[in-house]
Amino acid sequence: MGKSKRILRVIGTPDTLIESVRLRAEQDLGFSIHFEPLDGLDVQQRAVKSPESYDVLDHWSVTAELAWTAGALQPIRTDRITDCSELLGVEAQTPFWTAITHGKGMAPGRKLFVQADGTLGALPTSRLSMMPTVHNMDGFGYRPDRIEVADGDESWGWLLDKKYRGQVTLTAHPSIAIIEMALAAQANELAEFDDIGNLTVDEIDHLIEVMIDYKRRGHFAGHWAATDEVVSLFEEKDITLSTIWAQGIWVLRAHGFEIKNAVPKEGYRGWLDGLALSGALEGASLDQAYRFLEWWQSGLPGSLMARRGLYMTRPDKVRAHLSEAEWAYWYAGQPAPDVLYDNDGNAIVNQGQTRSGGDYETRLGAVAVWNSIMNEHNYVTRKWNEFMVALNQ
Amino acid sequence: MSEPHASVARPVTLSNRKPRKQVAMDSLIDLMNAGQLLPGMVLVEGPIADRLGMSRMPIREALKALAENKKIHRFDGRGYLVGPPKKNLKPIRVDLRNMDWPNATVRNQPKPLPASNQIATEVQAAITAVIPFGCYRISEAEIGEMYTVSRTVVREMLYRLQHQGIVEKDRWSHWVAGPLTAQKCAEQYQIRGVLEAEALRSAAPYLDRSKLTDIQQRLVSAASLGTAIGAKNIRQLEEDLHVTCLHPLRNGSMQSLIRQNQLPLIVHHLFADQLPRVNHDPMITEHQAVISHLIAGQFDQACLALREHLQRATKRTIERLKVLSVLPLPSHPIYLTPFH
Repeated sequence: MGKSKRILRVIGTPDTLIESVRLRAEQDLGFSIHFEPLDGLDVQQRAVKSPESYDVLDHWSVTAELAWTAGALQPIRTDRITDCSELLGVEAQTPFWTAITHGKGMAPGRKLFVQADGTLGALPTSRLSMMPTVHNMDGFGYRPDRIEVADGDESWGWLLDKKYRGQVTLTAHPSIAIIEMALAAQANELAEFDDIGNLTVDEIDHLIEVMIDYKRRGHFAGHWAATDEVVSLFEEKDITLSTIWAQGIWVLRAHGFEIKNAVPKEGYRGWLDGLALSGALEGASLDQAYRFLEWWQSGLPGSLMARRGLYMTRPDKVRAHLSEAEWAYWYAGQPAPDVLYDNDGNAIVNQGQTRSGGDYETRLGAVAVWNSIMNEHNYVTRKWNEFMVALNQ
Repeated sequence: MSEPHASVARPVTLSNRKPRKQVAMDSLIDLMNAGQLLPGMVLVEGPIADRLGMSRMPIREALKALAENKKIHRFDGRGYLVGPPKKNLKPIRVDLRNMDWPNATVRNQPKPLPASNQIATEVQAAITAVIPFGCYRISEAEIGEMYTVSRTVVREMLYRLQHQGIVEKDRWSHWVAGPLTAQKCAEQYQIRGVLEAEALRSAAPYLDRSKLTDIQQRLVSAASLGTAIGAKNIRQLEEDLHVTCLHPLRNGSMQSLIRQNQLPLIVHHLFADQLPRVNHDPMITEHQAVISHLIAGQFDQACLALREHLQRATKRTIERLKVLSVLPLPSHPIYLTPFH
């Protein structure tokens, strides 16, 4: 099949813009695709400021929310996505739909549909701000040889436990880290919050004060912005536990680190990624973008993501592209019948191992708070800088 | 917020000194153009002479000339009524001495404006433009150097900005500003919802119809521009509704309070400046609702529509403020230093 001369330009992070996905998409769709992986904050800036510089945005739901407010996106017409209602599961009230519209913070389903007044809301309409794709429920990762604990007793509070001074790393992304630190502070009774996904100015001030106090006493060993940086931190420093994004667990294991994925008793921090259309996109390029969006729901991309520990909308379609052993481990929460490998052929799951937290639906139902752009997000980012520049002692 | 009439203030110098009659005529025309003298308001010589520091003779001549030009007209009572003769135009008696006259017409004596006034608008605009982006320290010395004015002048100006809630002193007594929080935006919009609706109720009967139709026309033109509306038009529409329409209000304290709470408007200005694809239709539609009611004389409905607009604008502002977190820090004058 001859390739079209038009190149579909996709921006996002290295977590989903992987070469095996790009090659397979080009092969299936018959046109060229350019992936531009960036740091998360750079993606946000490009998404908001320069919609002319990309065709498709592949990023966090909160980025789509910001870009929508900035007028940088165009709505996705649900009638141009085959089986869109099955994908979202609104009518069937699937566990996916139920989960993304519940929980503390700005659950992504509450900002998915374009409402009559142009704002985003949960009321289903025929226009979407983004098409949901991969998602997960994050806890944190820790070395089980250093922390022995009974199942069901893992807590976000460990991240601020003085026992682990100098052995804790955090993500550098303020909107994510602030929620994780709020969960940790609350678990240690260092703070109390009305809505842990939407902190007030006073609550943010107090939390940052607590964190700076910990930092000055040398509690944090470092910060990371992307999964490969977590690996570097584990290689260079003596880390016992770290906030982590789900795929980071298996990347660390692929590098030989024995890391346990915590199932915090306070609940997970959930997140959802999606694909969105640049407001500048039109004509044949727009058609290509819709075909790319549909392709993502075909099942195969979901299988590539599953081997990185990520869940995908339409798991029924993903299953057809996974082995029975892979399905059993990644989605069904059962012991792996065989050794399992990542997309690069590294063994990452031993035979008999079980994914922590249970099957897909159980894990979805255990989300306590979703990644959110809080009302005070602008203030959070400024205060976060105050924490980042505070000196370790 | 900038002083709404700062733009009409212009110092009079000795070299361009005009005959007193002409100064009086210009002053009255300025007041009419600024919307302070409205059709039907009664003009008598005494208060005008007091306000302009002149004898009654040049005022009498000025009023006579303005009547010949149909800017004002005689009526059954003493003095003149503003505007050309019109049926059913009822005399409106106000104390001209208490009006908020533009600076240029306050006195006929050539006197330059205080230095702090001249730089205040500029400094205020510079600070307002950066506070959504974080905390800034303000250097008195650098401002003084930049404008070649004394520290006393700078301090006086900063104290005024402190009174307006734009800057404050930190625990080490440094001048600081920002950041603008969602909480502050919500609080200020709530205050405006109460004050502006009440101000509009008082001002509405005195609003010049032609001015309202001009505003309406600007809204229609703006709506036709779509996302190409541009920052200048957005600022004009905000000025139309939130300054011009409230201008006949003769309650200086309330006007000052309203201005102090219009800080979050900077979020929309920054949006219009930096994000040209934003759809401003909801704001235009809401403004149109208020203006249409005012033109139809439905003042209660106009006040309700204004309140509703401010409630919706609160949500829009908070959503937009989040977006500012990912924009790069703007350039700023040397006297401002970001510290978080």
